Amino acid sequence: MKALIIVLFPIFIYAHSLSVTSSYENKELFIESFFGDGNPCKGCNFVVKKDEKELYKGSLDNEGVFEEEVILETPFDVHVDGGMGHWADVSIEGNEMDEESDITNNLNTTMNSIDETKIRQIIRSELNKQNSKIEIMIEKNKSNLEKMLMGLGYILGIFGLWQLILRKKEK
Amino acid sequence: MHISEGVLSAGVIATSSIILAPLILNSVRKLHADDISKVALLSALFFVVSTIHLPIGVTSVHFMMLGIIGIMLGWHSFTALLIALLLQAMLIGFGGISSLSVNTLNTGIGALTGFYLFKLLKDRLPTAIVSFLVGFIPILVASVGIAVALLFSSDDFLIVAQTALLAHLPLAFVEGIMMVFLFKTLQKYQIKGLNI
Repeated sequence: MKALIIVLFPIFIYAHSLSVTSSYENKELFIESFFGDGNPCKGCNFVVKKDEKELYKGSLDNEGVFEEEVILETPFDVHVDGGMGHWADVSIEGNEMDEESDITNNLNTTMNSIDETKIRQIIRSELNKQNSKIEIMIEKNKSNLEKMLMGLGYILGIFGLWQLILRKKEK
Repeated sequence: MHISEGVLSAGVIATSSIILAPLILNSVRKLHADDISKVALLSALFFVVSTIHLPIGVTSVHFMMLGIIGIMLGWHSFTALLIALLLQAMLIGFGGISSLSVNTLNTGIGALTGFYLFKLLKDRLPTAIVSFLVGFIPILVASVGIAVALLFSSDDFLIVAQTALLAHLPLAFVEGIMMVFLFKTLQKYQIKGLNI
């Protein structure tokens, strides 16, 4: 049992799940992916898919980030392959805010409407990037221990239930 | 190493599922209530240890402990590994649902090799050598399984298959050493039902 405890302990040091966050604003695609220990997914390949159809593919840089202007049709899914069996997905929803802002802007067609629209887009784009970064920080801080304990809980539940059923049958 | 989602061909997935299904059914049918806690413990062990990665050059491989799983569970290893791999695919994005049967089969055959190797050698060789081999060989068997599955899926995976095979050699060695110490500890405590 001591040996098992010794074996189980390092999960707190070197757990290796893959996480990904992404945003798409003003045709700018932002992807960041990292492992559970906080290391970036260096040079990892990613695919942008819509209904299983490949729209775009590329790879992350040495900091696990991709940030480029790409013309894509929302909604879509981003699939990052961390290699050696690790992968992570994130979905980008259709941007309802654009429609909303279009309506608002149509009402104010008089003065400075183009400038205002541009300003709104710039602010929203920056806010989305910041949101993604905050999400990443939250995700990084969220310990893998949580997922690990969840998995162990499921194992306990599945086999516990199984044992209960078998014991009842044996009686 | 787990094989990712969408990597394997439909033929490889179908074949491995057909081979795995009777093995799982047989294990489930023969599993007694008293054995379940042991299966759960080793399923949890695999679930946890396979998140511990050993960096090797530009890549990394993870621990599997197939030798001890095989010795303690025998043919029930397939059930324990199936549950652990399923949860890993669903919760932490290791492997995948489509490659579940291949990953289970590879690791299960590795564990089973450990089981028979131990049975065959335990009275013929010194414990230290047996324990090392029981840690070492199952990892190699599992990595050969990964390489074969990749090669059958596409010829493009030749380099990946070779890398997988080579990357597992240091891991097999480390697990062999770990198994020597694990055997010593288990022998010391003489755990019931484990005839080491």
